[in-house]
Amino acid sequence: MFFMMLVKQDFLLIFRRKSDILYPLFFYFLVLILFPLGISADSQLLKEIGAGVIWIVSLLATLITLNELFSRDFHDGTMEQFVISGYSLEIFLTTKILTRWLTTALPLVLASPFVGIVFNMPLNAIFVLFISLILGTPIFYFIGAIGSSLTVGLKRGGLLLPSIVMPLYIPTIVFGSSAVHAAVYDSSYNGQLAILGAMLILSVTIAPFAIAASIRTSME
Amino acid sequence: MFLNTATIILFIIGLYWSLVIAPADYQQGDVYRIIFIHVPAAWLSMAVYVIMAVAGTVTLIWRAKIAEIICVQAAPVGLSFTVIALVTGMLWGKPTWGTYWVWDARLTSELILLFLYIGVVGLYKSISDARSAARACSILSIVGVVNIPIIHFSVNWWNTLHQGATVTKLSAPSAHSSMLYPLLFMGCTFFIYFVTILFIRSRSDILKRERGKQWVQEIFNEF
Amino acid sequence: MNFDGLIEISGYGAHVWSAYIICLSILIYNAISAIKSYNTARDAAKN
Repeated sequence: MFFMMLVKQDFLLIFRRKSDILYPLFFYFLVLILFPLGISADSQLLKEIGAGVIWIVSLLATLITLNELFSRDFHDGTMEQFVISGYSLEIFLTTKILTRWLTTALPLVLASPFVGIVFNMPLNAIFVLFISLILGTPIFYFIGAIGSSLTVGLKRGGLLLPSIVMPLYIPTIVFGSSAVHAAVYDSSYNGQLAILGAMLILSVTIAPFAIAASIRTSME
Repeated sequence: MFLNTATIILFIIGLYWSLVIAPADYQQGDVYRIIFIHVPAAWLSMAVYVIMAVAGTVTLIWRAKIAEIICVQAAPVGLSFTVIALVTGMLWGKPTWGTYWVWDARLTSELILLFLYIGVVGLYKSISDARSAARACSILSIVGVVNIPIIHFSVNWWNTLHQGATVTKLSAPSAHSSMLYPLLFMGCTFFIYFVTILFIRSRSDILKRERGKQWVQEIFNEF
Repeated sequence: MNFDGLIEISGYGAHVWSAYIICLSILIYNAISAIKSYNTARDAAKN
């Protein structure tokens, strides 16, 4: 009941500013278009680099939304009210992250098959791309939220956030893009997907505690 | 004061031992001597991060000020160790492997460690209140400590260019004793160096925090 | 003084030298900055 109320409220807040949803999506498409234009439209090359490029651009698109994941609530006092209210801060933060993921990252993931076709990837690779992004983008959000909550109180925290969060993203990127890469070249990708799934479970269960602790620290 | 002189003496002995006494490797010639600073620096870069994570846990659970100070002041030292490990590794890689850098698992995860350190130091500098800055850095150190086992075991999991573990296997080390002992000695030297610098930095941090307090004045009145 | 040792060291080549010198300079830089900040903290606390 409480959970559904929070989810509804977050959805309302996000849909009030539609640009929050559309901006990452446009960023995603625009940057992806730059790659064939800027490097080379050779279809063999695109097949080779497609996996990594799509993953990296997804990471960047989620990174730009992480900055203001908590900042609105932090600066208008809602966060403070929640911390002192005695309700579970972890659940509040998790719902924020989940609704943000649903509205911002899910469009990217749904668009990824089209992007896969543009990058000349075979069909089974597109399937793996979709699955790996579904597993991987929540990981980006949960780990990114750790960085976001650490820097939310800072005036220029936006600059620090990527450098805190990048090292923690690297395993996700490595496994995600190697899964798709393996699928492109018809080798086995189940191991990488399994590890991605494990990372997802780990980050969803453990990150909220770190995020809540960081929010409490930033409050002081 | 004892630690300072101990560090300097140990360094002199260690350097002499590693540079002069240890024999030339039959395969690599004299270039292998970089091992005597590369490996201890790498060991310490990982150990310091673990110490930071432990101090961070103590900070968060028990709110001990000393733990905060240790966590925060160990970070720049660990950062230097990581830089030394990476740079000496590159300088060693060029003559032996032919390249300065390769994206194998151990090098990449050590590079990740470098960025983790930079993140911790940057976070500390950007938060104005010392105590909450220390708490934030504790959280970050704990989150990042998962990288350490990855670095250590990466050479077993992915069989790429960087060689496997020689000392930390549970059976007898596979290096010859005349090279093993200077290596271990330099390892201890680096560790004592770390402790010395940590203590000096912690002392300054404590003085900065406790400036107006009674006990500080009393100590200075004694001199 | 073991002069043979010194002569031997100078033949070790650029890589070894630069690695050792970089390492030592970083460590010494660290030590000096730590001691400097300690001295400033001590002077500040004295007053």
